[in-house]
Amino acid sequence: MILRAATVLDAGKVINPKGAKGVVMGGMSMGLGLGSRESFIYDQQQELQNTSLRTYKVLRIGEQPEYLVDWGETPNANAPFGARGIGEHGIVAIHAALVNALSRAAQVELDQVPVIPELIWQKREEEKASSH
Amino acid sequence: MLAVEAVGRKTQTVEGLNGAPIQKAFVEKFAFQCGYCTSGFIMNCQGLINIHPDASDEVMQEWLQSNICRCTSYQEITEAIKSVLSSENA
Repeated sequence: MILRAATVLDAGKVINPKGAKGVVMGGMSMGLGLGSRESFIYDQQQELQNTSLRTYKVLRIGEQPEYLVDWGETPNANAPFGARGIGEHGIVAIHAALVNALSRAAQVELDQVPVIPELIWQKREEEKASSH
Repeated sequence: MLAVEAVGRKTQTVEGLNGAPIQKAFVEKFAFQCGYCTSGFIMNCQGLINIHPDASDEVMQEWLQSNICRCTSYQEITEAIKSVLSSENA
């Protein structure tokens, strides 16, 4: 259960704060889903096995953390009001941040997504086995 | 509920919720971006309001977990439904 997630982005001068925060939180939501539960499963013939949203798990209401979003507003010299565009950016780094946080907590290096509980257990077992 | 079970009964579609408090709350709280999930959420929220006007967080989540939104983080949607639930109780 992720408690809090924070993102700081530079989108120039933010002229629609509610809209900008909304899209960044949406991107973070998708990034956290990719990092923690969403995975495409392919078989040997490269056919996608998850064919429904029952097996491709996305974040549902109630599973989201408290989101903290802030801005570094370096103005764009060439745009009105110094604004830039923002849209998908929220997704880019958040799942890496999640994996880093989980690596730290589990004290084992996690280097793939999604980091499902079984993966953490597996990596810890491998770590234990290799240190003996 | 299966569609065949609705035969002979009155049904309400999302167009019938035009101007409803939940619709206004969605607008005020900025609870949509592309709008694809919005009609489903508004219908489901109205059902929740009708049947559990004093819904706790757990009940609300159990009801709304069926609807997925890919654009938002559900935060604005949660604020919208909570604002209507609490005003129903006020």
